[in-house]
Amino acid sequence: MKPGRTAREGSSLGRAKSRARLLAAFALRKVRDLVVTLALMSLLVFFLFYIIPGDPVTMILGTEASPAKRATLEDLLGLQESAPKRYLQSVTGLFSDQNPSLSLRFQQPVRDLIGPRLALTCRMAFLAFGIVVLLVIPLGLGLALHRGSWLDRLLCGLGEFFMAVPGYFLGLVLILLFAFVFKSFTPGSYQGPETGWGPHLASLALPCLALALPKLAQALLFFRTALAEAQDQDYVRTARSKGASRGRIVAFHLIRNALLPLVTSLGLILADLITGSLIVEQVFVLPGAGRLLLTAIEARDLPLAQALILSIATLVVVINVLVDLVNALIDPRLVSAASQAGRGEDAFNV
Amino acid sequence: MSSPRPRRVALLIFALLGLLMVYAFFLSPYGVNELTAAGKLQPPSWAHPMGTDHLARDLLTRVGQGAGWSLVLALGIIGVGASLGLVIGGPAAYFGGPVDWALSRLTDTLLAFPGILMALMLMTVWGRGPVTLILALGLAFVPSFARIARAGLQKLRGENFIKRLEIMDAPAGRIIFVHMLPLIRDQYLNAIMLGLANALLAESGLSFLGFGLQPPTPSWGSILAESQAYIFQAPWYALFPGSALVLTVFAIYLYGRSWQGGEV
Repeated sequence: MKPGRTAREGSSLGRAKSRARLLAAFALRKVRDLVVTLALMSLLVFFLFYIIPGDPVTMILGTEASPAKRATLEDLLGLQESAPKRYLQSVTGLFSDQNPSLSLRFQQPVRDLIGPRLALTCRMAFLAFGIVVLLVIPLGLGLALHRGSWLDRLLCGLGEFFMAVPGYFLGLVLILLFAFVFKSFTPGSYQGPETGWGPHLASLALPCLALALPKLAQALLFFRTALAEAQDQDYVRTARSKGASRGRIVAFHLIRNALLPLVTSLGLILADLITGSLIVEQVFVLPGAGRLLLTAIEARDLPLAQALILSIATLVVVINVLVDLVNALIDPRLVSAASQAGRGEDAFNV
Repeated sequence: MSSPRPRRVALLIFALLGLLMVYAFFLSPYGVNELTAAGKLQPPSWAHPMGTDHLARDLLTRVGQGAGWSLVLALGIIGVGASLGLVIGGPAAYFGGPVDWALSRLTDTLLAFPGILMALMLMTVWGRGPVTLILALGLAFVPSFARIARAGLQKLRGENFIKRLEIMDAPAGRIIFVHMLPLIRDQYLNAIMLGLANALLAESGLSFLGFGLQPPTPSWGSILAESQAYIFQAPWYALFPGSALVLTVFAIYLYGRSWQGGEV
């Protein structure tokens, strides 16, 4: 049960003003949390990569390496510096021009390696996200308005099934389906953006579909439940008894109330899509951040792996904060009340 | 409220899975790594109901034993996640104040970190292998469990029986784990159930990338990884282990939902 609107007090102008102030304070608090989280995260990554292994040089070269080789690598990793200095370098090396972190394997600044790869991963994640968002609202509304119909039951069953399908397996099945049934997809036919955007996006269609379908199922079931819950509320009955049209009830009462849980779950889904595409890339042999990360791990390229993990994690955390802000814009109750608890339910999204 | 049908479907799938594992571990005429005489990449037949793989091994035996290993890994992951979650969430709920604040900031930071990424990071440092996989993914599950434990236990904090125990000078650990824990048992078991499905998915994903059990020991993810190169010559090679994984996760979701009494 959700509490109703809070009592209306004061003039509408005063309310708008205090609302804006509350929103600003909320945003400020979120940004502060973001900075703290990012700082803690970069520290965690630094410690895991350079402090816990004890001696990164032995970890990379093994115990048999010649002293000369060890000395060069120590130099390359900047190990003679103090730990705080190395921590700062591990963060600023991501951006700086003068003193960039260098990949051991590729002998290039990690920034130049990560940029295009991460861009591809993000493009995939956002395309898949677009598919989810475009489909979930009309589908969810359709199902909720025809609750109990055969289509509702069918799609809910399908949705529950698709939630259980990992994106990479769906990718394999889609490749098979398109190759054998439609004879239209040749594997390994990735087209980079330099060949033009049309072929590029076309070559991303299947991977994005594989990423999007399980998440669409998840969002759809979630949205439908939220809508169904809203439909049973007293305010909907009141609106109906006052003669409000069906369209008005849907537009002003149902969607607005079901949107908040939807946006929250969509935020989790966007973060999932980014990490999910790390694996799906492997199926479609796409040159994205996931494959680069695997290469880095395989080659024990600590600077590259560390930089990649830090950039992907930063991306996900920033997305989470943006979702919180969007939520606050949609639902004023979030900002005002002391409801600073967790975001939605504890999803086990790993 | 809950219709018995999803529950029955789930139980049926569990039973089939059990049979599959019993067959693969005890009854199968083929060894899990035995190179059979049937030849490589054979389609399903009476002798090999799921066909053979790229080394002429019997796929049914491998998928069945893969089920066992995948479940063992997933249970290990959830074991680590759920027990450490209690260790963090319990004191946070019981002591409150600064302890709660510190532990909650810790969980929040970990929760913000995507689990797969966390596991990959830990495995970069620790190396690959089943034990590392269990620890790394288990740690990734800790914050979710810690939150659930904390939320559940916090509701009990003000109860009179806790005050009584405190007056009787019961040690905090005993109060949390002996007196409070049983009261959130169902809720926590439910979380474990859902977590198990997600652990299976995460584990198979990492095994697919080559971070789990090392060949020739099969898990669903690693069989899928091996099958990828032969997807056009032998589609069944990928489809059987993949379907087994999907059906198992589906059944766990269904069963977990029927347990909750129909709520999502």
